[in-house]
Amino acid sequence: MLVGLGGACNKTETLPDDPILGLGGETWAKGPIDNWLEAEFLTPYNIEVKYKWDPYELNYVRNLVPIREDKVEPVMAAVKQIWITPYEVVAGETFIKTYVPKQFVLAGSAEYNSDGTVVLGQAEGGRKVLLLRLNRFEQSDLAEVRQLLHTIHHEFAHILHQTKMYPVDWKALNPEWYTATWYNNTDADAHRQGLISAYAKSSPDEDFVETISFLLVYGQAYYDAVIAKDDVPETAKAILRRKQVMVVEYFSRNFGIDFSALQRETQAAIAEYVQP
Amino acid sequence: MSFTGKRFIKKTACAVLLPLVLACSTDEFEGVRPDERLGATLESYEQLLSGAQHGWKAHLYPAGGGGYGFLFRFNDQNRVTMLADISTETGSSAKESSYRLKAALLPSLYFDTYSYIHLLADPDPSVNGGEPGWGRYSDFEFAFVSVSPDTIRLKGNLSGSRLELIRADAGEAAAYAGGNLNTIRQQVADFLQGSRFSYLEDAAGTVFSTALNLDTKTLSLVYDSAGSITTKTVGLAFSGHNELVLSDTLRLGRLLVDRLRINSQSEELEAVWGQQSYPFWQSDRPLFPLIQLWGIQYESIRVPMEVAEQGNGTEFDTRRAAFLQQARAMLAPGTTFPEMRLTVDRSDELLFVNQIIRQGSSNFQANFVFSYTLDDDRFVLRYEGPADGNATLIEGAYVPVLEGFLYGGMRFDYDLQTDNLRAWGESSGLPGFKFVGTLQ
Repeated sequence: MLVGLGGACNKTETLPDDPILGLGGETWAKGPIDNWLEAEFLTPYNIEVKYKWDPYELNYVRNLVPIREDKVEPVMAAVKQIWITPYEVVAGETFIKTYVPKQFVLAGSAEYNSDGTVVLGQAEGGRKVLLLRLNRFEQSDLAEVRQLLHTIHHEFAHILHQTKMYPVDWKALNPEWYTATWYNNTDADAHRQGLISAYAKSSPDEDFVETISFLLVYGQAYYDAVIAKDDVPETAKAILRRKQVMVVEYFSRNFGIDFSALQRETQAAIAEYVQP
Repeated sequence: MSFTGKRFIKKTACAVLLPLVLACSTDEFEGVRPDERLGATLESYEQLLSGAQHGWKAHLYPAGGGGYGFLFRFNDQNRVTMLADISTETGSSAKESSYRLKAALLPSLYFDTYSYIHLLADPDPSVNGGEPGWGRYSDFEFAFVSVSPDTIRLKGNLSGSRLELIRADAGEAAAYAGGNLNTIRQQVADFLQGSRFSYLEDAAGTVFSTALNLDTKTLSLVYDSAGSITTKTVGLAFSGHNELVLSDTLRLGRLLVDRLRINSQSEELEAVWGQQSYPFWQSDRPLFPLIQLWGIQYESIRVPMEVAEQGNGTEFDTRRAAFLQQARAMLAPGTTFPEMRLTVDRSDELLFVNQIIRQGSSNFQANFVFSYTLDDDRFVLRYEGPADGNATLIEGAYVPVLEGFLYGGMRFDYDLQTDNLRAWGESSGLPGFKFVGTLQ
């Protein structure tokens, strides 16, 4: 009897050959945007750029809207020219291909929090970067371009420190000014406390990446001008200088990157991108 | 039924053996697997959408109220072009974007890159107004609720807006392409221009005062329901050649209406249900006293403060001038005080006096609060105090005006002397304390 049963169950089963719906990603008829993104990001860097609406890539209980199709190319061209290329030039192709987040998700509007603040971008686990409020993006508008690149450099710096932690000394520079209600402060308030922006006040991690992002996107001149402000006390000036030194050392020691060269490349790329 | 021991044993034996046999059964599953069925469903919906040669008339009713008409034309390459009755631009130039069908909790239609339909949901109030973070509480991803060859009903996945698609014919498609959404808007605007107090009347003679608002895309009906004034508001989506389709069928008294239509012969607006139509009647008098409609159909009386409005009494103008003199001396040079806005909160029996303060291009509000009791048709008022910092700041200068409200009760009524719809307020105990303003 056992033999009989064994024999009956031994027959090979065939697995269903119809695929699971949506397995391997959604598909749609490809258009010029899809082809451009494939050539510029997917093939050379293995970066997927999701520009079509997918609520589950975002905070799906909040109300956001998708990106306008005519904004996809200008936005992603800025990402490439002002973020990827400078790193590639200074740190080399291997660096960027190692640490680059593998997925960009784009949306047209910001995410509105109930406390009145808005989210412009987010990085998740070194793998995915959300870029929001892109329907306002204009290539010729320096402020908008800086805003976008500020978000990207900010999020990428998170990925870097999640890979190689910054020195713990950083957290001891001005612990008294970190607060969950950072949005009740202006940038000018933050400057007087030795922080580069109001958002830097939210935590040491945010402080670290804001410092990097400001040094790259708004440049050394902006940073120096903040330090030079009359109402910034000497202690705060010293902290801001110390933070810059720590950033330069962090890049040099952990990634062998010449931070000043990266600053120059980034500034040059911004100038070239926005010129009419 | 009889029961024997023998049969019992037989059955038990079967019960033991059967599972073994089944477990080893090698029969292949012969039904259609869920993924396959879901895929086929999505495929059939896509074919239905893209197969409509002349596209689909669409009526979208956002959760936040109002109604919007669209023409959608889907193709089989995940592209959709649309026209919409949101603005003149959206009504005349078709915009192309993308769509796809997705297996979300229910099979869903996503408008997945930005187009006109997203304007209503845009969380940035500078785009199309509405609430920060929510816009008009509208949707652009919808679950299929019911599907027939000519009518598809969908429901918004986030906010729960309603969308219905009705297959368009060649004539309708041509009309949309020719800009009929803008034509309908213009015809309704023309109708509103010539009608100050319009109403519908049912077979029983019940009168429904109507207010049609092209900004909010709504129709409000005000009527007397067993002695209390009641309002019913529905959304309006422009549709087809000459229709405005209501978000909900109106069933009030013996009135039954599901759409408005611009009569192709007379070009008059009429309310319609099937073959039945009701004309919009015009009255030169309001249908209900102002104090019954204030806070329901009309929001505010807006009294000009920098100039003497025609019809003002001398006592009011004297007090107004005294206020202006003191207030100008207090605030920065160039500050003006264009309007006093009176509103009522009927449930809490409060009357608000909102003085607008203008500096440059900015308007500031100073709100003062009165509580009231109604003595016949008079508002007997009690001053409760300033409601905000601006009001506290100018309260001293505003005393002459505020005090005028406190003599023996105020009466309010329509002023029909000019072409604009205006209203007046007059003190019953302080002669000459009378002001006139526009009614909005």
